[in-house]
Amino acid sequence: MTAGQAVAAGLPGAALLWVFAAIAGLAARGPRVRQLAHALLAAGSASGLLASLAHQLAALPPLKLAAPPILFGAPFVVDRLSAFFLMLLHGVSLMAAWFGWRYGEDEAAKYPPRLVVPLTAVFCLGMHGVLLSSGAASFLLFWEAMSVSSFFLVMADGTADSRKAALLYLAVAQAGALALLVGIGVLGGGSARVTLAALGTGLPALPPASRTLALGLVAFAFTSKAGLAPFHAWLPEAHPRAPSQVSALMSGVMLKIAVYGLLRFTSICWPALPDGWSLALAALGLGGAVVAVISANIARDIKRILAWSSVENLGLVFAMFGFSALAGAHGHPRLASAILGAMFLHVFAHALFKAGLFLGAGAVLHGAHTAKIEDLGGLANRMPRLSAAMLALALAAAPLPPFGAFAAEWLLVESLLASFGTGELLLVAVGAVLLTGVAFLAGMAVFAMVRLFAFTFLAEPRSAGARLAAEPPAPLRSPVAVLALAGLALGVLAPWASPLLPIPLTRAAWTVSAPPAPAAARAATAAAPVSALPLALAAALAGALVCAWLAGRLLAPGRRVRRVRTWDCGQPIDATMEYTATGFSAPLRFFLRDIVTAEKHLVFSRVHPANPWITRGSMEFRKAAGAVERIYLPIAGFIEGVGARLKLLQNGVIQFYVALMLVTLMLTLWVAL
Amino acid sequence: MPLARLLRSSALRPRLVGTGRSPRHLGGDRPAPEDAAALRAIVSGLYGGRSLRIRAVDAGSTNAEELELTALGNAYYDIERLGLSFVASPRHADVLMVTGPVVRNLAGALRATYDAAPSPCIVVAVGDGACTGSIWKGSYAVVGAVDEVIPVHIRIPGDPPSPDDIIRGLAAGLRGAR
Repeated sequence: MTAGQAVAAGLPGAALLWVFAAIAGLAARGPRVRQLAHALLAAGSASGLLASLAHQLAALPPLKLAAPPILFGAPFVVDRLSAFFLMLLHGVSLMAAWFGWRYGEDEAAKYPPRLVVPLTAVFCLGMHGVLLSSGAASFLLFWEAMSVSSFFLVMADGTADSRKAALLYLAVAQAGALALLVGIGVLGGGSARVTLAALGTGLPALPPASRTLALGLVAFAFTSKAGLAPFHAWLPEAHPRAPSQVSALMSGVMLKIAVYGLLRFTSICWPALPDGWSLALAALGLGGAVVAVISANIARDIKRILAWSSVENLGLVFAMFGFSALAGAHGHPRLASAILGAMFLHVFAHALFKAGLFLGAGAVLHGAHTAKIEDLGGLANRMPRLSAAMLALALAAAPLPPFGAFAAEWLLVESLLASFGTGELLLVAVGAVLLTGVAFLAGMAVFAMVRLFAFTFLAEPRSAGARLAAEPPAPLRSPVAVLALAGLALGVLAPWASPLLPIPLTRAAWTVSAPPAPAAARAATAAAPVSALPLALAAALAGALVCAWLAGRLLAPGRRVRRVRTWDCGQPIDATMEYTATGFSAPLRFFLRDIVTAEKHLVFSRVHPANPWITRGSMEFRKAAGAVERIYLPIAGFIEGVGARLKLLQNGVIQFYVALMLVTLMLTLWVAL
Repeated sequence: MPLARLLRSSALRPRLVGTGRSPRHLGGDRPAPEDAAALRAIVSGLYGGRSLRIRAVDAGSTNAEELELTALGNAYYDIERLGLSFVASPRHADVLMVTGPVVRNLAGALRATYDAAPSPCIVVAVGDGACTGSIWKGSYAVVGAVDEVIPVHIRIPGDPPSPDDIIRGLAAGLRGAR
């Protein structure tokens, strides 16, 4: 079987298996059939993973898959760009299905499996369809399938908070989908039954205002889905609410689908992105990442910390994309493709470590029955294997060598330094700002990950749940370990990872219809990625550790370690003496109090009116108005106000309705004649 | 300037009062200059000239030994001049001075203190109670002598031993130490 046949069989096969998984999950009444559904999910993912890897490693040209042209008017096509994202989707969904196999049964009381299993299959199917669509109609349809199924998954546990978060998510997702629909309508001349490639051909004929409008709408659609500031407020609310394997899919893959959409649409329609838009994307990405990484250091729920970290990483991805587009537009294709290489490597690494961290958080939640970081602690003794995997993932997210994300950031820093050599003021200035931002983000990410790992796994447990926790069963911890190993492998093999990236790394290659000239492809490939320096750094780090250990052994021979109880001055040491996660981030909140504005309300009331000395005090501490209060609620208030005005028309008086109809008829006739 | 010298000599210099004899002859308790000198020599030879830190552990004494240990630090005996001092934590201690017969309620604390001290740790049993259990030996409330809980290197008997006895005992006990 050739690679082409494998792809042609594997990708539709994956979709078919997922359809069966959805049906089985819907029909399931007992654990047996549900496990069959999970097995089908996993089988579909494995098939898709193998097919996308085959497409990548064999460097196949864009391939048409079997398609129902009547329904969508355009075939399903897989090219290098979609194969890269398909690899991420199927890899993560495979792990999610493996995890859900056990987690779904154990948490059946919290997340009804008859809802979760079929919706997960539909969710995966939606992402799969978005990646394969070459037509606007099918792209929109699968995009909606992805949004709506994930909306239901967010509120799967049925609590009031989850419903609130899910509705916020739905509002943003539907606004984005509407913007995408209108944007496609503007670009496609009022029709959605066009191919994506055709959207670009009609563009030059449009007036400049329409072009800007279309770009704005498309950019809003994708950036709001990916959680770019200021459209990110839904993300840290919604992602932690879903079952953990779905959180892993949402943070690990769904955000990347939005990145894919932005790459695809801008590659087709705006081969040279206007400078203003590139700069805006870079600025919003970097600014959002800064705010998000600070929030990650303040959040007190593991999954919420991870969600904020996703906002940060996606912000960095958008900053890289913006800078790459800027460099490309100013005639530096090598620089542009190197930064795109860093971006894809980062996307890849983030998918691995974030999915792993979310699955691990699910395993912690499963064992300790709480995700509040202040109630955890001491899990390293109770869950040694899971802790080891989570430590690796936290290091990967920090990002430290030898993991994949470090290689990506290293490549970015190298490229940013290279941009100083271009001598163009704009590039140098933006590069310098980005470099500073990346340094800040890297430091703060280390802080956030140290906080996440230390207060979850180290010291003494701070609640009964954490004290009684035990090692999670193998199906829950193995996917976490596999993802940790994959992240490690990506970091170690980064210098040789370019066949897995959508090379050639030029946006001209991702327009579906026109594969680039072979010469251009070769040049761009040669320009692509990663030096072996991160690896050398990692090796140096490991070497330094080994040397320190050896020196300790050689310089102090025969020194024995005596293990005794910690000296406690006669006061038994317990968890109330521990440094808390809130205390750990207190200096940060202090130094950044202009950004992290918090409102503290102290109220004292006299117990007896005549006695001023004995008082009862209460303190309320809440985060000051964020994006939700400043941006979302005013918009919602405006829409509600308009709705209230429009309600005057619906006053229940039938004569008024008849008069309205008459007026409408007269106006229509007047316009028509 | 004779005037300035006069002012300085009259107002700023410490003035000697009394008979001019050394104050150690005022008391009835005979100090032991030769033992103190021996102990100082031993301590300065022990850790390359560094001082020796003592942690006092009360394992159930009558407080008589504590009074004598406190007296070691006063201006009269002043063991800091010999390179010995009391510290507040076993983590900083080279010597544990244990007093009293070890009562059952403090046996665990004594053990924990010994574990917390860095090794090698010199354990000194101060007083009859710590050395043998004394009149409390065999009581249901006491474990007995200190060496029933942790190893003891030096025993200083007495009920209570005077500060001089303690200095002499330390000097005798540490004489062979290296």
